[in-house]
Amino acid sequence: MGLQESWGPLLAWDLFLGGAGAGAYLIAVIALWLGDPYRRLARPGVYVGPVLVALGALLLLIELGQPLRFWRGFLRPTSSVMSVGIILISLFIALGFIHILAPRLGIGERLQRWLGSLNALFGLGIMVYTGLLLGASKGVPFWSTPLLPVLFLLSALLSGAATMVLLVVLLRGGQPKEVQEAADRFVVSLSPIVTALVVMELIALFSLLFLVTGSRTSTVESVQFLLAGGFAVAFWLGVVLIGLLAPLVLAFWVVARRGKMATDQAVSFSFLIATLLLVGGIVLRYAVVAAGAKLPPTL
Amino acid sequence: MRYGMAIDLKRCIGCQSCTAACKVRNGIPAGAFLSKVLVKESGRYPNTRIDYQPMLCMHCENPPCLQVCPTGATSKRADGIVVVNQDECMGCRYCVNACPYDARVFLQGLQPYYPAYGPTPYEKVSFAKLQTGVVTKCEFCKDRVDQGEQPACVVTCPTKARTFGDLDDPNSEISRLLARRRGAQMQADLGTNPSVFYLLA
Repeated sequence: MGLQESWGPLLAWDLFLGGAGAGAYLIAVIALWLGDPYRRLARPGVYVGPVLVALGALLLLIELGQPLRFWRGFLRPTSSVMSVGIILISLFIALGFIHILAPRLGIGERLQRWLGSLNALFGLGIMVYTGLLLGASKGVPFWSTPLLPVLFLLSALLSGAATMVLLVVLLRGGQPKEVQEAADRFVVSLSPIVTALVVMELIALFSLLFLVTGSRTSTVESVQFLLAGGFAVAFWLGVVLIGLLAPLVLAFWVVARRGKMATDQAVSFSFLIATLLLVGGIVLRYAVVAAGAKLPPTL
Repeated sequence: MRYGMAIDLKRCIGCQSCTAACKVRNGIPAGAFLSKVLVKESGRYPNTRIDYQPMLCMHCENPPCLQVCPTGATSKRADGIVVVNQDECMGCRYCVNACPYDARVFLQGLQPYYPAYGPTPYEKVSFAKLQTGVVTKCEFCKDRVDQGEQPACVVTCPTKARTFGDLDDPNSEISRLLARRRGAQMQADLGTNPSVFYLLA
């Protein structure tokens, strides 16, 4: 029957931005709970998280056939996975902007942490939702696997961590010495977490591709498209090599050489890992959206 | 009351009259089809064959398109016909990927059949009833059905391959036909329970 053509790159960007934004926010909120001096690294993540999610929502809005009717998506909150997602994303953006404005609104730090924690839960919901959204499409069996929300959750956490690393490293200069040291420790301490998440994502990705094959002819078409067909170069180079294997080797290297490697070197490595992870994150979303083969008209 | 259709594949000659009748009746622009006949080739020379498979909305008892519609634009009438209210559709196209039968059409634009001459007078009238940026589908010609007539594809079929009627009425022509001959549903294992049956033998 061929690959679906209804949803294109804009949706992939939306899924990616939603995941990366919610993920960065989650890590920022964790930094808030860690207290001083890490607390002072969290602010950029609190800002960027909701902005990225809002940007993704905006892309989805542009993608609508009738963008001015977007409000109709709020009318039946429980009617569809998408309705639940629209509510989650709106709540996240609303609470996120309250969190951004919290200092001006006179909201205390304690309340901010709890507000952030609640919103991080909505964020987790968004990360899982991006997989469930595709999964409810009965016409595209490749997406209808419980491993897809798992894969997208892992990818979102990695993209979020990568976003935080870039922010923390880029905004490091000009800060007090203790904050700079906290930034370095924070970035380097993410390496073991990144290593674990990448291993989990590799397992999730290849289990998905393996398990989904054979269930229906269209899923074979999807997997072939990714592994050996029109998307093969982008899949092996973008998703597997740049997005997973290279970050895995580099992050493992940083972990293994802990104590022996100079801190600024470890930070540079982390910056490179983060960049690679973000490239892999968007290519993965694009790969999954593009590989959605429709059911053939079998009788 | 549950409207359904039985399509006799032994009668279908792949003439595409239903395809044309549907387009004319509903004023569907160029490039979009609510109803069509697939031509399926199989085998290897010299043992080859061509099969025809008419496609339209299956008007499922459990429509996947209805389950994903976030605005409520999609609904199922009491008589089982699955319809889209164009005014309520925001064009998210979730239903297009949810439908296992490729029965949903996203109307990007209203392309006339003879672009060099602009829309014909008939197209002008029909296009006025359609919106762009929304999803449309076969609705079993609901306005005809409401007036006691049969869908356009049924009345136009020169080999009388299509039978339309009430699946819940055991005495209807379609129910008696399905009782006599085995009717297959597309992707029956998905649990959608389509109201369109294909008579294979």
